[in-house]
Amino acid sequence: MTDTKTVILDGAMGTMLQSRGLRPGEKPEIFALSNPQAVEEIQRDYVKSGSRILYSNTFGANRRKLDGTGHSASDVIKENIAIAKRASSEAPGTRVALDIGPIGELLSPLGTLSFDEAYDIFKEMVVAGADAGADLVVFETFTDLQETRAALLAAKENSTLPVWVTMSFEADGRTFTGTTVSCMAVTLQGLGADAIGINCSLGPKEILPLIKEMRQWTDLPLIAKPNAGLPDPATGSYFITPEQFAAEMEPFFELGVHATGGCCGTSPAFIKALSEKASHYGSKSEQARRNGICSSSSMAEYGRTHLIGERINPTGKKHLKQALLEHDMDYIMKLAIQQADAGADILDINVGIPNVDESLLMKEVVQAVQSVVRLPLMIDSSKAEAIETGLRYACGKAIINSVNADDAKLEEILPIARKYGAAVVGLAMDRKLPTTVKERLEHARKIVSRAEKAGISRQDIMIDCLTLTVSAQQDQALLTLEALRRVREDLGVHAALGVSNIAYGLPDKSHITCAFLNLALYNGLDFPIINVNSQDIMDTVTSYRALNGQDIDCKQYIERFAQQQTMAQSTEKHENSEGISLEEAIIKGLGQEAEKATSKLLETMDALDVVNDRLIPALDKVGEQYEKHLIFLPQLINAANAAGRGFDLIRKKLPKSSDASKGKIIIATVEGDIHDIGKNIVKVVLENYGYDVIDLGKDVPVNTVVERTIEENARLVALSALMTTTVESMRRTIEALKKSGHDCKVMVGGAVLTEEYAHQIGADFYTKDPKESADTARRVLGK
Amino acid sequence: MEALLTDIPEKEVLRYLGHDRQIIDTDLKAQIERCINSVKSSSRPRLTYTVREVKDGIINGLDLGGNDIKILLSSCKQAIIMAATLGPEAEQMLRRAEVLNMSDAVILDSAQSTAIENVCDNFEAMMRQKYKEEELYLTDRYSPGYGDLPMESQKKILDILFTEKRIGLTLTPSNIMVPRKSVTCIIGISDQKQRLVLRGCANCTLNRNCSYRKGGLCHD
Repeated sequence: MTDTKTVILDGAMGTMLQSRGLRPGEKPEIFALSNPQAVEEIQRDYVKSGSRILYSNTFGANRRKLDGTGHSASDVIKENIAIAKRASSEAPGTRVALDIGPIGELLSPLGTLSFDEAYDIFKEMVVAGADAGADLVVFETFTDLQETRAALLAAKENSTLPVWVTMSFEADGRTFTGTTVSCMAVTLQGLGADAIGINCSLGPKEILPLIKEMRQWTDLPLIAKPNAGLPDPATGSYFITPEQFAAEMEPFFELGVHATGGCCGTSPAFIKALSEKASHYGSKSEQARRNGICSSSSMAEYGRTHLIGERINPTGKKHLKQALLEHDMDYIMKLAIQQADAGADILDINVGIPNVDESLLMKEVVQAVQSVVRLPLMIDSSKAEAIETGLRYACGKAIINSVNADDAKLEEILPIARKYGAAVVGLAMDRKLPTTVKERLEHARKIVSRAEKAGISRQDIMIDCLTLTVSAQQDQALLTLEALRRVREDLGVHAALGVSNIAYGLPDKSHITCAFLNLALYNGLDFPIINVNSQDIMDTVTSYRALNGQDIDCKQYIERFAQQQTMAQSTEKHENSEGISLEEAIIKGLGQEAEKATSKLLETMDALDVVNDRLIPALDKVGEQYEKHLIFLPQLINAANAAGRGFDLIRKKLPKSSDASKGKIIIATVEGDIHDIGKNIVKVVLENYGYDVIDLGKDVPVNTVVERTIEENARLVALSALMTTTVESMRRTIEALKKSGHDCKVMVGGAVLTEEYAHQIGADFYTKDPKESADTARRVLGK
Repeated sequence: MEALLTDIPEKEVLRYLGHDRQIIDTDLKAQIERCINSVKSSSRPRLTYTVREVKDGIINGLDLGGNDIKILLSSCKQAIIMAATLGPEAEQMLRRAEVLNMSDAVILDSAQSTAIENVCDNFEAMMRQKYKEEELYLTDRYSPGYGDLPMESQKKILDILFTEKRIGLTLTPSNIMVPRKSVTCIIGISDQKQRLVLRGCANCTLNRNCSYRKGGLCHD
């Protein structure tokens, strides 16, 4: 179907300006302020060549890049939009797009720029562009999907202009940060982009297969703005002619791509050739054939079974509750990595504990989890605010868990789902639990109809038919399964289901859980919410996938069970090996053996005696060996880790009242620095010496260090900095700590520091290695 | 040009780890091999470079500051400016290891440092070969932080190479390259044979506090 005519965009600006006096390294946006004529002439040339949308010369006009130029983003944008508007008068109907590129710094956790700051930077640009009279906003050349999301949200929340988004890919279909074409398309369509596509980095030939793939994942209008082929690596110059370029662009017109133009290496001549070639074609829109749940790089496509890992949910989990209260993100990241390694396709995130700000905690946990795994997320909360926060920071297209058929709930949650393009789990209940299939179906129908009215596609709805405990309500198990089958067949929506509840109160839960899971899968459950760490459950899923043909040639089945056989053999071998002493286990860095030896000692010794008479002396010996160069760093850490396994066991044995902790230590990599490996080494060693280490992470603001030190009443603060440039913020942190009047000592470490340098910046102690940090801790904390 | 990671020599990894003749048992050896293999199999190295004219030791349009670079380039008419990165995959791998197993993390960190050096070595070797055919000779690689070449010159190098757009390499406000396992360097091109003297401790970013140097075990 032909909707409208293909739109011709413009070509390169930077290279064109170089021929008009722009020096290398000079910013084109600033150059325009003193040479408006040069920019206007180039843009007029583009319009004369057929461009009907001009991109303003504002690609890098963000406040970070303009810092130090003496110009504000807003002024630079207003001036450049005015230039483009003058040029657009060359042909009536020509529109001006506010052009915005990436900020130029990577977002945390890779870089130091926060999502909120990025949002704010884009907001400033969008507001200025809209005020100056831009007709639309174009974000282009993005490579990080999270930064792109910040940009798109900033545009959508602060203007009414249409927003187009194009990203740059490598020939393998991924951006530098790993975003795939499918994840980009699904995420940005969900977030409300008006058109999406690909620009820069590659030529038309390389972009064509990627645009074809994008077509499958979105029904939005598509944009292609390729470079003039691939450049010579040494000189950066391009070779193909305007005619070749236009010929290579022809397949894009045949695909019905909505807007085409050129990026690096193109000129008005290219646009003219392109425009002539395009004159016979129209833009087509097609129903997207594929869809799913995704992160920036991992797609759980609809049509298969996807496992949702349920472990990040504090209900009934003491340790996780504690970790959430203490903001111990390491613990939560471990849970995330373990589930990813065990085979989860999606992770459920629930941080609902009493007396905390659930939104803030949700933000912290979502960001921590995303920094170590690249799986899509399910945002699980009973509070609308926490759900919205989770969706805002979750990169990709997430799932909301959950709504139900209660009117108030639907009104509250569905608009949030619509805004962020999330899928929704609908519990087949209202304020009370259903008892029949019919009731469940009625609730499901209501949810589907209300969701569709709210603008959510039926494809993005998952109904949860509710698992009730079989030991209490025996008749319900089969009814749940029947309702599940009907929901899938009659309503054509997906099914999500938490299965663990079935076994509540029964012995040896795994048998009944697996049997129920099998039946549910057979009845069409495609989004089971399960404990992926359970071997029995994963065995069940693996077998099911082999039986229903999703596991082609039973490959995964064979891999899993062949591996389990070898593993069983190797454990046997280990268990036959003779037990060794705790000291030897620690010195050799053997965690399992250290745990066994500790457990044996605990049979005859008091727990605290094991710590003081065995564990600590063994660690001391290790430290001594390290000082004498008898062992080196990996061996020191392995030993510390082995001791840690012993400690963990002892902590479990100790009655609550007794305190094995030897004192609190605050540890942080200072503001502006993101090197945290040194800090983490010291942390592991200190923890395994029995200190209570509170890790504030990397790039930690001065105030945060001071506040947390006072809040925790810590007597020792350990700071790390690896760069000469960040030692200055170390100095400021120490100064602020001293000024606060809080009684504490500061020890510092890091590659560029020396004893002398450390004292110059006011530190009490310089520690050259992890061993010395443990010695210093003992000196200061007296244990 | 394609960035090539061909080898991560265990010897180099051990050097970064501060290994000094300590006995390595089979468990540790296996751990080191596992870490090296995972860096090899999951890195996506990228590089970009440009060749610029040099006059009186200064690269055209790229005055980096400091005297040492001028001395390096004193006999050169051209210079190669190069940036390479192991990419964000390496970064996430390290982050995961830091959560799960810190000793894996330090070994991975060293293996990644060795890997990015290998990428640079391969690039340099290819360039040396290429220019040899034209009877031109290359100087040593020289990077911000060596000698008196200021860290602030990093930004100028990244800008001139458009590293953000070409290989996804950016700089934080404190001049830290992100992804962190990244290297920039200058290599002079001369028609005179070059004495390769500038590598080693005096021209290393860690020269103020390096345990290998203290032990007298560094590469020179």
